[in-house]
Amino acid sequence: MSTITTPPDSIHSIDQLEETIMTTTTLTHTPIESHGGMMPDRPITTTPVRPQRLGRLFDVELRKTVDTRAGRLMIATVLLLASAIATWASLRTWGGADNQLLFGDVLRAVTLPVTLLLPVVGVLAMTSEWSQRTALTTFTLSPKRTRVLLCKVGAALLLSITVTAIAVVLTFAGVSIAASHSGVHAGYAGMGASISSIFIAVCLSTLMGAAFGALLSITPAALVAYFAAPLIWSQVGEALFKSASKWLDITNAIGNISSRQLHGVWPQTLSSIAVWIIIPLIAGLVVSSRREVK
Amino acid sequence: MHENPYRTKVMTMITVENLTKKYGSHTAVSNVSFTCTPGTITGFLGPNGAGKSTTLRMIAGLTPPTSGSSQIDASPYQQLPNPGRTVGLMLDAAAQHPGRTGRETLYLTASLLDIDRRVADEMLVRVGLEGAEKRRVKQYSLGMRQRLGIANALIGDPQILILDEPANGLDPIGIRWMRELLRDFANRGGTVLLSSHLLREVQATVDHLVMIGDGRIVANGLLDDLLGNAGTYVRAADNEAFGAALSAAGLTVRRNDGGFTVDAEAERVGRVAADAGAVLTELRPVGEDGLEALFFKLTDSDAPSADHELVGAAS
Repeated sequence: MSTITTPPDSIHSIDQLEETIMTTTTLTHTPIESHGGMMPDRPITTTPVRPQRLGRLFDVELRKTVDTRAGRLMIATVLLLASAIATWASLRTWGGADNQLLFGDVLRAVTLPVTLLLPVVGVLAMTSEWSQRTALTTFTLSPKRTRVLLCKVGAALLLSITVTAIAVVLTFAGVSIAASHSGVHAGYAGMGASISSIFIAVCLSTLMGAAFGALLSITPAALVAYFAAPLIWSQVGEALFKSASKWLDITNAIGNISSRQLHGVWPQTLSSIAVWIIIPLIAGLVVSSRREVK
Repeated sequence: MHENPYRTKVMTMITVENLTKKYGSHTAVSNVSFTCTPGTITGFLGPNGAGKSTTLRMIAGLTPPTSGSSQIDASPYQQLPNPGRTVGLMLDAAAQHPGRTGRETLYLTASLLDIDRRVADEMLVRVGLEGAEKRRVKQYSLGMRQRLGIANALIGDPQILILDEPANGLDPIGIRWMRELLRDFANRGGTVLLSSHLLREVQATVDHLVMIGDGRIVANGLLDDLLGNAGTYVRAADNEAFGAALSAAGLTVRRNDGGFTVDAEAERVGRVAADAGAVLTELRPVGEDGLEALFFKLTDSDAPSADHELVGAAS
């Protein structure tokens, strides 16, 4: 053959060199090893797959609430605040006139920061996947979204309950230590009532946080709505509707339930819970399960 | 072109039938149908905003189609018992939680897919993220996120891979690594569907091409068939004389970039040169130019409108 071909121009020669290397490596390279102790070059085949279990989904959603720095920081903040307030409340009561340190009083002081902050766990559980765009992965791995969302609500509740339990234990420890070191008598009367009160308040607030998070999906918007809407209603509602605003006063309603002072106010309490927690939660779950993932 | 001894052993394929997605009066995807078969890599090619991502999201059950359907084998994606065990998906490598470590990201998927967590550590090595597994995704480059996304797709040992722009952010070594990985996956009988707007990458990687423009399929077939008639580029020391020789040999010749594009294979052109005693300075298949020409011819027939951009931003 007399045909002379010069090498192709430089750009293409690099390309073709790479092509050549590629072909050679493709032919001779050891196929990428696969996991599961199977043969490296085994064929890809279908294997029987068990349906995704609800328990596993719940575990994963629970883990997601604590495996980021933001999640851990949130919990640490709640517990630090609870300890600080328990210490402060114990010290303050310590020199009191009746020379008695009441567990119930201290826990009541602790309840405020705990019920204020833990609902944020509920909000974040429902919004974070949308703001971080991980919903894309979550909902492709688990297309049955309602299951995922219910697990998120459950995980937020369990986390809130756990943190509250730790706060209660810390309070108990604080009160006992304070009492034993000062000689002040520690009083535990009504302990059961005050403990159940903080748990009920935390659970209802967390559910409400989750409802707002599911409904709005944008973290700052959901947080602002969660904190501001009830406050605004308590002002505006009272001005406009006088005592009728009690039918929609969620702060009062949660207070009534947790202190179990429902005598004569249970219809107002129930209607408030329905409007601020149950309806938004159901609507939020429906909206979130249909929201388009971008 | 690629020998595949396993082709008959698996049946996991993607079927897309008349998928259409409308947003209000705008049609993002219109009547798109194609299939991806085991042992092949299908490239889903089109300009930004052509509807690639929307189509992939419909296949993955994230976006409900206005009409039409898609199946993984015979069932809709949403009805797979544990989808990550059948289909490995990476729709957006950037959509990972910045506060989680790479390893934690894979642990979560492994739990959900009912796989031993040690597999997550193996996957990190396999995608070249060893040493970075304890760092938060926030500190990862786009290329590293791409590798993590691939690990997340492969961890369930799926039979199908669906990847949206997998070469994005990868360096040349990473791109070659990705190409080999996908080729190996297909050679073992897996089904691959990848979207891209990188022509060179698509040409080097895929067997089958589905080209989409303005929400419609404009070309669908084997890459070799679609490019097969693109011809040969040739340049000679004496172009005038050689051009005449080619014409005299009965070949269709077009002047192009200081040489000629000839509608014939390189060997035929070479023989003409040998017979004419011509000195050639370049002789090669049109190849990439062919894909580029095809791409522009099929997808860019009308000037890009503001509408394109709008859809691009939305998808």
